[in-house]
Amino acid sequence: MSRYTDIMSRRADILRTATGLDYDAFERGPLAFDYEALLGSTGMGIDEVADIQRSRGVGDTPLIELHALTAWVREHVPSGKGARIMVKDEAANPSGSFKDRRAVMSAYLAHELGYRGVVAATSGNYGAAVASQAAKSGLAAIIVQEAFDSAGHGQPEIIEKARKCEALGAEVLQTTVGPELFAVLLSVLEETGYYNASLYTPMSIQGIETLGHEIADQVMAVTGRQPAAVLATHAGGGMVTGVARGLRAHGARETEVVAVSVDLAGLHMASDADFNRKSFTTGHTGFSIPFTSWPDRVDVPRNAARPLRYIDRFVTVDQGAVFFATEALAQFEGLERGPAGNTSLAAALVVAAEYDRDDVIVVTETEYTGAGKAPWAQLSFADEMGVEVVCGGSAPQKPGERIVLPAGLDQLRLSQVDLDSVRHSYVRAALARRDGDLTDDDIRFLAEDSRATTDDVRRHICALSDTPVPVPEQDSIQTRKQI
Amino acid sequence: MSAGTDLFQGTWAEICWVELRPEERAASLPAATSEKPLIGRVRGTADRPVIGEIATVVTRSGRRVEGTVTAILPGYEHGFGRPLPAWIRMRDAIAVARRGVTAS
Repeated sequence: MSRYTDIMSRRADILRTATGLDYDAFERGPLAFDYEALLGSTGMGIDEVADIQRSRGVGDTPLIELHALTAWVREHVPSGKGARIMVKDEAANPSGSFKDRRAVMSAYLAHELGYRGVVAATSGNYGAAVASQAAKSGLAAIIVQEAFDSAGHGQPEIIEKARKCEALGAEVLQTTVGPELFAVLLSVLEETGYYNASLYTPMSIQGIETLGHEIADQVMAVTGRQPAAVLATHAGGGMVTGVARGLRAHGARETEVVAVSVDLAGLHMASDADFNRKSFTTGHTGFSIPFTSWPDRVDVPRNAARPLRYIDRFVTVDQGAVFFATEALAQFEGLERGPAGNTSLAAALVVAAEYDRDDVIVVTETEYTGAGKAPWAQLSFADEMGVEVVCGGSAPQKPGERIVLPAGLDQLRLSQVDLDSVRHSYVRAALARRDGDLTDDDIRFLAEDSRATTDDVRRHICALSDTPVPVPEQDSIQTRKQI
Repeated sequence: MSAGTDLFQGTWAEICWVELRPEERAASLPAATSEKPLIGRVRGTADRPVIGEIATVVTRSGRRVEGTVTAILPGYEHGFGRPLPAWIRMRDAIAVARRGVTAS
């Protein structure tokens, strides 16, 4: 038995010890589990979560109206159209991103349960957030990062996140490319006995609910109405899930939840060769398509982020559009912010045209920027890795080969992800994992979990039951319908 | 010796090691990945580390990890990059548009 299969065989025991939560208690059948009971297992309501966050300097971030960008969009849309665009300035959180909302809850729970430290597997802002909150709670922190390719080249954005983790006192364990990062995480958890500060625990998702709640509250205070739409950059599903739940908790049931990802179709997320040919390390389809199609592919037995339950609309933008939105935010609004939230800003600049002038649409986040994260850092690195960078023209975008920077607002494009196609993939992935005959309870669960009818689920099952196939990756999902 | 004492002795260094050999790696990896070992890397304090030699470091969390020394007093070399001509074109197009817009 190799070290990899050896540690993976102890996965369930290691995770039980490292999360302090018995996920088996929520299982109901071969596929079904009690999602709301899992979310409720923390025993905390949204007000209590907000109090914990407030006591640690997290949350209550400004909602900034983007007057100049809104005016620009209105020059390009029919009279009466062009919603007011606002952005939640999550860069104002202690470590510079909305991830503090999740990390603060993990650190709180780890401390309450008596763990001496926390471990998180993440190449994103969550590492810095965990390091920051661990420092505040007096816990040790270890961040496990997929950071560099076999030639030793580190993605500049990830290197910056490593620097920030180290600056905030964390140990940073970096690896080359590969999904065995999870085995490294298990190994560190077993060695240290620390808490697994997974992004996908109930606590972590509850931490994001305050963001949705604050958005509804702040928009209501300014306009007397709920936002017409909220646009959330979508990767693992936490942002979409938590924000949607927070909006509902506020009563904003009509607000459209729009998930937005950077289109990286064609790049394989586990490929050493593709690793440094993408300019965005998160918020892209390499995560969002597989995570939406099957959420339980994470570092805990059940993922508390279930995006298909909450997404009303799912769109993608290309890498060039995000660079454009980043620069437009700087020049029109005087806000120099990091890449992640600008994915949904790019989409907002397009979809604002669909809403009336007195509607409000909200971009859920900004993040801090700086060395490694700034557009020049990303684009010059892409250039060094052999990716062509052009502005305007007729040559198409091709992830990993060519980035086309728009030369004007009218060159921004969205692609609509077909949610029915994602649902089909979800049912297919579920069937591939079933262990025993499905019960009516399982069918109801699949319907709830994918926002479909039980009849829809049965139809998919009939079509698929004799052909179990592997879990789909992003390229199997239809995303090419241009808007 | 307490962990606290350990942390303040020796020299800050970076080490790397083979976490998994190619034949130990997970199934279903792309060829570009499966033919390479999974390498781990961490920083910590070591007793007289020498680049290219084996050393044990004590990490920030107090773990002891053995590997080959790759850097002494490692820093961060990432920066803000340089502007590409295509980015300058986009910037200037946005600047022209900005001059024409009056926010209400």
